[in-house]
Amino acid sequence: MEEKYILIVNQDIIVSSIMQRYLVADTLTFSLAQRFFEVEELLKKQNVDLVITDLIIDGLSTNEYIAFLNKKLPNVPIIVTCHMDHTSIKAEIELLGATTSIPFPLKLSKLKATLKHYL
Amino acid sequence: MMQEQLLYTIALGLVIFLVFLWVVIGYSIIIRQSRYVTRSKIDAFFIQKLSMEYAESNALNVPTHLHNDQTIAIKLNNGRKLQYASSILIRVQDTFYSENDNMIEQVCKESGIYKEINKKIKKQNWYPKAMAIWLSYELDLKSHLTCIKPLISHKNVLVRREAQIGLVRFWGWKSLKILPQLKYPISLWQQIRIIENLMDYFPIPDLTYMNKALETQNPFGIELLIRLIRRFEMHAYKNYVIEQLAHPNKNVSETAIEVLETFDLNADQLYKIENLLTLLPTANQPIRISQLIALQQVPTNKEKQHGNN
Repeated sequence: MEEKYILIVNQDIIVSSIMQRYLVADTLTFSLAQRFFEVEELLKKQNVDLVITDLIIDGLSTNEYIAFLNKKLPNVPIIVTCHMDHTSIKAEIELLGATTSIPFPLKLSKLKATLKHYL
Repeated sequence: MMQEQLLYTIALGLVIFLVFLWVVIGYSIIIRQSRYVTRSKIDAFFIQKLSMEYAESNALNVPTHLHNDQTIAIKLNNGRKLQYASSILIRVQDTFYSENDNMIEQVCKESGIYKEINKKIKKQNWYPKAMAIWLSYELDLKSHLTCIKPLISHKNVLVRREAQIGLVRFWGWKSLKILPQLKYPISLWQQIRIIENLMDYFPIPDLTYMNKALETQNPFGIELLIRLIRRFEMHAYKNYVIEQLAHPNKNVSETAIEVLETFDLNADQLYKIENLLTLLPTANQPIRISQLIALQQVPTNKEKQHGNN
């Protein structure tokens, strides 16, 4: 099976590490980023197959950040995690260009299923 | 000769100062390095522990690599480490869903946080005591409730404030039963904290405890109840608020007026207020109460339209 490259972006390294440890599989390679400049640097070096990102990130506004990801990674699924669970907010996030959104508190099984669905 | 000696003394002073500066810089670098190593170890411990616990608590297939990890041991022997470790748990519990309600408490017990918090609650010093109470309710350590309960009327304001919020977080509306036992006034800020905690964690009022709480005679308790009636829009308790207009305590009657101004009152209730004014000439706020009656009697635009039709 082809190896896939996943980028997890969250300001809290503990959160992204827990996600990574749970999602680890032979065919998946992970990179973690906490700030926008780290995302920028990683994307310069590596092709990404899927992004799991928090809605808020240090260094750029949400709208600009999602637009940046869309521009840099066209056709790459972007899964957004956020602390707001409301249908209108979910729709707004998807309007910004995210593929889907999962609210916190996050079910690890749901995250894994979403990952499998989009890969 | 004298000049040479002076120059020598200045040079020696400068050298001593530079040596002192280097020692301070060196010490600071070592301390930062050691703090970084400790924090990385704590991070690694919790990443390992929590990924395992979250997987297990959701009845998921725990990935085999999680079982094969080498155990990391941490020692939370000072306040700084305890605070850092607790902050990780507070952040993570809001981020991941767990079906096991006691999971965080279990992790606290296994990591030593529980024991450290327990020690700090029993300390005489107010600061670690208040911090330990705060950590107990933030981490949902229900078994600390027995230590927290006697502290609701502690002589230190911060300790008793945290203990009161702790009871609200653990008991919800049931915590209102402590109102008659309180010895010290509850500040406006503390009342707001209590109300907002109830709103966030127990948004549906439990009227059994609310009815019992109405028996309280503490002016600050009554004030809190009036504010709760407004925040949760408990219109059934309007009469209780009206009765408080005649309360001898100025703060209580003022709060009652403020709350009644935001409610729509019917003719019976207005009549009751008017009666209160005549029957109780000592009422604290005669002018404001009259204004309240006048305000309630002004027909709204909707009513005016209805009248014209």
